[in-house]
Amino acid sequence: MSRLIGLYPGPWRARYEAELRDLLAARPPSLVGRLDLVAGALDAWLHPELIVPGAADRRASTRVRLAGLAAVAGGALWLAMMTTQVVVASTGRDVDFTVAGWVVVLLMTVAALGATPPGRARGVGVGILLAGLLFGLGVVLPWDLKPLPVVPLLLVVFGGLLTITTLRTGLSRGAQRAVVGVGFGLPFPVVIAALAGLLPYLPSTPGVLLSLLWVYGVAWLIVGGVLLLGGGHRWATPASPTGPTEVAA
Amino acid sequence: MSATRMGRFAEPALWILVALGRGPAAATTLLAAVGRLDGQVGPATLIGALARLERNELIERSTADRPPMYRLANYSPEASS
Repeated sequence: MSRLIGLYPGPWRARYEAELRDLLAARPPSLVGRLDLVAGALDAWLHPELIVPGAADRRASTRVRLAGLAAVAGGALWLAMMTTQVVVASTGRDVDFTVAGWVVVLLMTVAALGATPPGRARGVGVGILLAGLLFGLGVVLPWDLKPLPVVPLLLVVFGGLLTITTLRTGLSRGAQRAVVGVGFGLPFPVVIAALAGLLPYLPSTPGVLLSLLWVYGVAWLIVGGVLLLGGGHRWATPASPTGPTEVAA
Repeated sequence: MSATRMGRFAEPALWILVALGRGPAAATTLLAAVGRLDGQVGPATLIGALARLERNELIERSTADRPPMYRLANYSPEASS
């Protein structure tokens, strides 16, 4: 039984271990009781704020900084991909960016989820998962049908992820609109329209067009930088001035 | 202070409050009381519910007693008698 109690975090044990041992002595646990202990340990790790004041804020802060790191890494990888694409396009060769592209989407998804307030993370996660599944379906479809699901989903995935993450930066509304507008809203439609031949006055070379998408990576670097510097703390759980109420006498 | 969501602990927490309405009690007493009111509840679930009730300032935990005693926040013996 001590091994199960050892699963609980230190601050929790310091506060409740004696009581828990009394409870277990009063009624030795069945198998269900042991499972209850394991579930309780998981709950204690997931909710340190019940014991340690400010723990939720620290966890939220760590989440935001991890989101910032993922955003910076995703943005940097995106810039590297676009740069390589432009250089390679000038030589006439072709490079497969499938793996790098998925890593970028993964990093940006981590950033968006990390920057989302805990209460809404589940809904955002389900939305991203659905978009990812549809995107994956688009990738395996026959080539003739690819443009149908892939292009709108590219817009939804890349635009959605940047928008979700930017909303949590704590930047002003105007700055948020500028980041999303210049980083995504402007270049993506232009490039897609040009590749589709709708903008004949623009150069149709994919490498040159894709260089327009550099700004998307720059937008992620800006968003990630703001999150790393602490700009995303606006949504963090309000700090509690005290821990659990105790009466000394 | 932000309210802590009770989640799956809501029902045992309610029965703890009912039990504490009769007066301060230790965790072992509460385990038996909640068991009588609502059937068996695990010790970890009981402690989790107590922690949330404390966090939400609905109950108080006395460290002067061994074992610690729990009472309703702003409990007064006159009001409960």
